[in-house]
Amino acid sequence: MKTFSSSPKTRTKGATVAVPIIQGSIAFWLGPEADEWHSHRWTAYIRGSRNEDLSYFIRYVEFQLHESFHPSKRVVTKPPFEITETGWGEFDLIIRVYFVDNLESPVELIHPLRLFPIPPKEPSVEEPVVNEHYEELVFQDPPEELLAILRMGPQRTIETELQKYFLDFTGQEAQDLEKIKQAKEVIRTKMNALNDRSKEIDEERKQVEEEINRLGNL
Amino acid sequence: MTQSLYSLNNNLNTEERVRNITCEGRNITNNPVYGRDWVSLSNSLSVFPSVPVGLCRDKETVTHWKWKTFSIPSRNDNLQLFHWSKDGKEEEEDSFSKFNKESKIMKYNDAEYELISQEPSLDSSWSREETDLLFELCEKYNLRFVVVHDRWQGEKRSLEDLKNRYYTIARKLAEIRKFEPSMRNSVLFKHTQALIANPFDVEYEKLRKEQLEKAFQVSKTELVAEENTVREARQIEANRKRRTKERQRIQKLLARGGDIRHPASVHMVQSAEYPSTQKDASSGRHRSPQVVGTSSLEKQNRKGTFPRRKYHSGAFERSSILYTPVSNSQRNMRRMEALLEELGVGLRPIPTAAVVEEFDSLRLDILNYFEAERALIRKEWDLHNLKVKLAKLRGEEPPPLPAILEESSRKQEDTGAHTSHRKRRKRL
Repeated sequence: MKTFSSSPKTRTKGATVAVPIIQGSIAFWLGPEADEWHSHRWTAYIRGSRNEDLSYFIRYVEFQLHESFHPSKRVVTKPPFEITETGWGEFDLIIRVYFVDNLESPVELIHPLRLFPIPPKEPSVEEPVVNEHYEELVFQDPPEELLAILRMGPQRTIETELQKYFLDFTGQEAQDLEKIKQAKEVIRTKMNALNDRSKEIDEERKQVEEEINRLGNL
Repeated sequence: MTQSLYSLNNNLNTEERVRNITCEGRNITNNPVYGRDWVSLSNSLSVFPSVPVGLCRDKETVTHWKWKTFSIPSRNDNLQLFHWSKDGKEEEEDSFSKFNKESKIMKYNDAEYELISQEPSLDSSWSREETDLLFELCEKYNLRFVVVHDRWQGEKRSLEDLKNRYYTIARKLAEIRKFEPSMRNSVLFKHTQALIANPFDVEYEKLRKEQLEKAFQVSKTELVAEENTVREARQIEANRKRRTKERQRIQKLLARGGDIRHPASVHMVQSAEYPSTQKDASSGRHRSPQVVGTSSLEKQNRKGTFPRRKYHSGAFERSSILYTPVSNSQRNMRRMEALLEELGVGLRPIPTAAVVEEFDSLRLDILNYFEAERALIRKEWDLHNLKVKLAKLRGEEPPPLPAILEESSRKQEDTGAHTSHRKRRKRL
């Protein structure tokens, strides 16, 4: 494990680095005969967007589970950064990511654990419920050592059993940008409609005021 | 019981000296200790122990005491005194003689006095005779100044004056005297060193006595008042400490668990990590980290989007920007969420730099749209009111409320327009 201690002076002013990661959970239904309290086996994890080994800049990851788990705080110091548990309920997992440089404060992610598929889909033993979110860790003015490490990039990739269920976010950015673009267009048309109506009102108002003045002077 | 008592008496009888000294006028030699009472008690039934418990010592050996003479080392007049002492115990030195300490008194000769009396700082009201008397008394009473003051004759001087005179002279003497290196270990040398190191402060001494006197004269009510004040002061101090501790504890907690989603802790987005062009966007997730400097141009480009977001050093997750509210109005935010879902964008698009920036600008557009809409509704109301006025002037029926206004007034009723004022303030 690499650890660095550095004084605040060693921050690199003006530099910004963003590292894409995926936070996710995969839940398997254990079938209708399973114990009521342990109906699902799930795994929550932090992974690289290309399954790269993130331990080059992450020292350890802390998973804060629901209070009913003992212990509710799990610390994972080695890649892959994941925990596997059995349970029956969904809750919000808190994932704290600690970096190799102590100077950089940890980042807290919130991941909603999903055990049940979104309604039209039926629960199935074969197909797990995968809930993944793309995330970017942004380092502003990172400490020098950390910056050097991040520049070097990941050293290797990891293979895991769950790999086949991982989602692919390729093209997602373009899709979302397109959606936003369309949404903006919709808003723009709505705005134009408002402006047109506004002009109409101004016209109408002028007429009405003139009429009132005329009647008032009589 | 009776046996033991008699044996005790017998023992006493065998001791000649005891009879000689203790029996005089006590009449206990042959009689039981309690005389007549004892006889009557021994013949009657009693619920009380007939003999004092302390006297029932059957088997203990009896210590023998002897009437002995002893010496007092601190006296030099050969006074002979006697005391009782345990038999067989070795005669030891008087245990009080260790307190009989004599202090070294500095003595001056004529030449030295002449030299000292030249000093301008010295009190000129003292004569040589008086000083001689003072030193004599000091030696006689071993620097017990209270006694010296008591025996003082002649001009009336305070205790402090006497002390001051003695110590000033002694100090000057100590300064004048020269010591051989071989004398360095002597008591006298140490004494002079002490005199030089600690000059007698007559003013301080006077003040001290004055304060003691005052403290002694304090009345009971004043004392109680003072005690109360001290207690209150302690209470205040304790409260202050407790509060400081509490504050530190809370600060620690905040520092550790501070919510990164809180608007104040969300950092300014850097728009330049990724070139946010469309052709590059398709390969969104397949980029390794890139490092970009912040140029002033980029800062200018950022202007006008989110003025309240500040640039901070540190790490954060980019999705936090998606969750940062753009308006303080909860109603606006709820409408915005509904509208975003309706438009198909959702609340959490993929948080890349380009998307986050576009998402922010979309949300601001929506906010502007809400503003414009509200302004338009105000205009509609104005127009409607004017139309109603015109209808009155013409003596016609007032025009019906336009559809858009009906809708807006219904909305206001829904949210409780009459009571919402206070609620809204609370939310802010």
